Amino acid sequence: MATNMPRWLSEASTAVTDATNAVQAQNEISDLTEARAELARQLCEFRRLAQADALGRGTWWLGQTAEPDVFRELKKASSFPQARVLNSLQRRLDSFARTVNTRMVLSWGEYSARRTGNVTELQMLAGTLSGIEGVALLAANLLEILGQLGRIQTQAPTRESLTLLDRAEKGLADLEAALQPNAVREFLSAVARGGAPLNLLTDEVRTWLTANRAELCFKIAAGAPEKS
Amino acid sequence: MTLDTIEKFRCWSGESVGQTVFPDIGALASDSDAVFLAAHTPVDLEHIKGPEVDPGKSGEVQVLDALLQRVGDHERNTLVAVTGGSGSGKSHVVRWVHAHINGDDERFHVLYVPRAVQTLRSLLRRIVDGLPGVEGTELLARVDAAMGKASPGEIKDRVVSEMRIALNWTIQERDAEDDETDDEAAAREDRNALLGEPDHQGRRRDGLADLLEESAISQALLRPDGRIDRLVRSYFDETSRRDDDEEGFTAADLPIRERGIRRSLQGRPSLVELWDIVGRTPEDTLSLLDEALRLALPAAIGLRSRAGGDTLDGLFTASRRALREQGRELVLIFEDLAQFGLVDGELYDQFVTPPSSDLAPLRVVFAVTDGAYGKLERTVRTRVEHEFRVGGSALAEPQAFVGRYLNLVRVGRPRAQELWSQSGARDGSGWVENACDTKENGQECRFRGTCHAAFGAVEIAGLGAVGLYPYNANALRRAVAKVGTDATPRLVVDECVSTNLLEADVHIGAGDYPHARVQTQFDFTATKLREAVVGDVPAADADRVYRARVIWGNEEPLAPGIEEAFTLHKYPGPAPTSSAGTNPTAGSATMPDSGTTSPPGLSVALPLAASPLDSLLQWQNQGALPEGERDGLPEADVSTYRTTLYNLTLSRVHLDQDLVHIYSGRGKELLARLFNQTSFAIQDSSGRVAGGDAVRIEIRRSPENVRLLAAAYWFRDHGHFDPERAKWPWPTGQSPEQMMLELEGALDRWAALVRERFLAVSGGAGIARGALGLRALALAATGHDVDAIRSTSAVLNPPVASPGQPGSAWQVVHVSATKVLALPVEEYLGEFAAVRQGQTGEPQLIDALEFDGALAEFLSDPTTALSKLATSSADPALTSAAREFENALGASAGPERAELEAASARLTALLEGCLPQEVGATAYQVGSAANAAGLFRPHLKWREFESSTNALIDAPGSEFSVTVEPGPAGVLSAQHRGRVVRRLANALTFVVDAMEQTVQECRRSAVGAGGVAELRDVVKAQVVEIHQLVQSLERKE
Repeated sequence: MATNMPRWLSEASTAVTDATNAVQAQNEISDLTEARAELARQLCEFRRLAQADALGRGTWWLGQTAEPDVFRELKKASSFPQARVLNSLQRRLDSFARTVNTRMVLSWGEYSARRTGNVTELQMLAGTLSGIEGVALLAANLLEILGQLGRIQTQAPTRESLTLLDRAEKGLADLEAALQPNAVREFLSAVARGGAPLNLLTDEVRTWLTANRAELCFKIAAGAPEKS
Repeated sequence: MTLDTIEKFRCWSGESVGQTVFPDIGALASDSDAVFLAAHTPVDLEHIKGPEVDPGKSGEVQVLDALLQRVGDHERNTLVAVTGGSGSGKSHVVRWVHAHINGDDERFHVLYVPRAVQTLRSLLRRIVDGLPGVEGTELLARVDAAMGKASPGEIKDRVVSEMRIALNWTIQERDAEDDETDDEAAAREDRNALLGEPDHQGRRRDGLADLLEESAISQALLRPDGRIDRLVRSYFDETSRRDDDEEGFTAADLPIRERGIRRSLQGRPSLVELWDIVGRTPEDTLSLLDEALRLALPAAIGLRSRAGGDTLDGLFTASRRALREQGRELVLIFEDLAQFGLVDGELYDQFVTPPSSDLAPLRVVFAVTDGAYGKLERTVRTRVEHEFRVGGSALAEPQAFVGRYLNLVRVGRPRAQELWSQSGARDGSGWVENACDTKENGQECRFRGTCHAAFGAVEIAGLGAVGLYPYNANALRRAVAKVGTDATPRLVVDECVSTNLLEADVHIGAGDYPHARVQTQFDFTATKLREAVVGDVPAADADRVYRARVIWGNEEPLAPGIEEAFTLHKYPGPAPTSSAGTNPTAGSATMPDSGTTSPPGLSVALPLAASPLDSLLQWQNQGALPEGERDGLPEADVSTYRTTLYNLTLSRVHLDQDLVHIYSGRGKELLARLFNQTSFAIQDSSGRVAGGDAVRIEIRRSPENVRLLAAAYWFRDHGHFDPERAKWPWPTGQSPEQMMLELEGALDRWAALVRERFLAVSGGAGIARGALGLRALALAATGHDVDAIRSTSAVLNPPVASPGQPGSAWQVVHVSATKVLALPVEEYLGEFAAVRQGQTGEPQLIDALEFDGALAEFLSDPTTALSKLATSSADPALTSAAREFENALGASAGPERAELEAASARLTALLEGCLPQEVGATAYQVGSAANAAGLFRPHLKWREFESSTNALIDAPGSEFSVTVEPGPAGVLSAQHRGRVVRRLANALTFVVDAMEQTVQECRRSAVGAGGVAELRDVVKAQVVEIHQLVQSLERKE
């Protein structure tokens, strides 16, 4: 720039230079601010997954290892938290979190089915038995617990999820214990755990079903019953 | 007058003229047969219809014989019609018949109805009184009762009322006829529809009669000067003619275009519909109204009464019965059938009623105009046995015709009646005396010899030689010719006998005949220049002598007796001239050479064409007439004289000596404006006359100018002044040399006048100087460097430059200057200041030094130069452009000076001593940096910023301020640099403004940019924690 300039032009030149620098700083702040918010969200997600991991580790969950790129970019971002690096890292973290969550929900579902049977089928049986005098209250209690359990089945489990599973398991046991005579209890227990074989459908069972107007609540389906 | 000289002699008096001359026979009393017959000229009659009565007889005698031929035949009536045009003399024939019929003949009774001036009632009384065997008092009393005390307005109301009655009750529907055409059937049905539908009493409803009850319609019928008004008034007026109103009702008698008629008929839809039909086809309505009027009129004026009583028809019938009983017949002599007007129906009924054992035959002769005869009812016309048409004219021998009247006024009425009564002659000739032979107590007039020798006489059968005094043959011919080619005997008697003799009596007595008015009473056609006729007469006496020599002498000296009678001095007559041999009477001339010398003996003598100077000769004499009676030259002749004088003068203008080109372009236009055919203002002649600053040459009616015009016409046709080679007769009495010299002199004078006016208006080369100077100022005004346009060539081909656009204050000057630059200045130079050489005649040279000087004048003092040019009338386009430019400059110089000075100051202040090129470059760098950072403001004006900084970078030169010298010249001179300064100032102003806005934006953007490091640490910590969590999720078998 020429040294001999009108005053108004010199002032403008200085102001533009200063402002140009300020703009660059402002842009970095803007990027970091956005990254901070996003990382905070992802941090919450990973904390939730880590808690679920701790609940299931060794029982129904073995863990999930991230891709090497995730670790490389985590390392790079921790040294140079530039917008471009942070953007890439955030995309990879989101992808990894979705993978962990999916696999964890699947493992938890399998685990809970092993303890109480199929929740949906059990809900149908409990609903049927809630109209039978003598077990109605137990069946209704089981039905409520099963409802709460069903609503959290698509998320990584929490401590509350484990508590509900325990309560469902006990509720089912109480209901089975309350069923008399034994043939009925045996028949319904098999129904609750994947279906009863035909030999369990004894006359006594039929009589009970008829007496309790429940004969139309059961069906015969082809397939081998699960072994207890 | 003395007893031994004819001076002031008159053989008639005003009194005798008044007693004996009656142009309209209607004004001649019925007992004035002597006066009538004494001047009667036998009429040539064509016997159009009827068997020839006596092959040996002709004229009026035939009519008389035809009328009386059947007297004694009780089986048939006789109708004789004398037809002819108005004023042709047909009534004279009937009057002659009456004068020659024996009223004492026992075989018949004569009822004579002259065409005397009388009211309708007088006419009826004459008929009633003339019918023998009837009283008719009841009829006359009824007419008296009907018209006696009634006003015309009352009669008009009565007529309309009777028309309504006729339409309601009397007029019948027409039945279809077997052979009627479609059009006739349609017309009949329309007529019947107009009558309306009859009710149970037979009165028609919703027809024309009901429409007439509407006030607006009846008022239109009664309007002043309408059909009914004219008719009714004619019955109250004394008139000898009622044939002027033959047209019937017209559309103007119906209020067809008047508003409100339909509204007033609102309650009667049938009448509304009828009125619409009337409006669309008024002809049928008008025809029906005519029919109703014919029926209504007799009742309205008392001729007919619904209560019965006498009718004209009844009286005729009764009279015929009475005569039949006496074995006599009824002779009806009507001088003009048309005077019976709308009551003629009563007469026609009689005409068609044949005689019988109790009805006397009718012998009827009547005069009727051709038009009225054609309209006579067919039943009457077919019963006309003889039709005589007045053919030829009594004017075939005008001298004899007028001579009889001249003799009558000399004889006088008392003597004529005395002679008539003494003679008892009925054969029409020989009873009246010739006053020339008997004036002096039975002896011939003492001046007979002198008078007849000087004025001439006409031989008239039964009279002998009748002197023409105060006419002679020439004068009488001119007097009759003045009456016109359609002269009738009545008009000739009125003008040539009555008027002229009365005036001649007075003025001959006073010694000043022929007085000035005589010129308007005779054909005053001249064939010579006036001075050729009265060149020998002193001016004081020339007018009267000239009139006498033209009228009585045919432009030749008068016979001695004429000068004596009219108390004119005796002059020798004009001297003969050297060109006397070329007088038209010579009858031939030699054709002019055709550019080469004809071999001897090969020249061919051809008849001369008629002189084209006749109208000029008449024009020369019109000065003696009252202004209103001067015709001036005919339009075609005016054009010829003007064009001839114009062309001859133009050929002598020679403006090329002043380097002015007048054969095309502006020189021609200016000259045409200043000098053209209208520059010659010929006195009393039609055509536009030059005005404004144009040359105007008055051609007044003077002998000199008549000679000039004649000479010009001659030269135009011949190209020389040699009477021997004439195409048409050389003007008698004029010297070719004199006429040529006079024309040459006049043309030179006029050409000098034109040249002087042209140069005064145009300034000669001044137009070219003005055009060039104006262009120089326009170039300066559009931003050209004044120092570069100080030469003629530079102004004509200015350096190509782009000095920039004008400021707002200068815009109007710039536009005006642009128009000036569109003027073809080269043409101005070529047409007003260039020497033309070579074969093409195109402009070749101009005096550049002269024009460079003119440029210096314009550029140094544009105000004065423009003012002078703007007030010049030389060239409208140049003047207009100069005026517009001057006005624009005057209005804009002040504001423009202020603008330029402000721009210069602003530029200097903003540059702060720096060069615009450097400032522009730096500003562009700063602006670019700001723009890249999104900091440039105004956000959308970057392109304009670029353009402005480029303008600064490209600024020409090193001086960037302007000083405006005083006056408009200073502003003009400052335009060139001023436009640069203004452009840079505007650019720099924009740049500065943009920089200021950008600085503001920079300051705003820089706020709140701290805390980056802290934020960066927070993010790092987040990444580290996530890293740990991800690691915690690792799979472990």
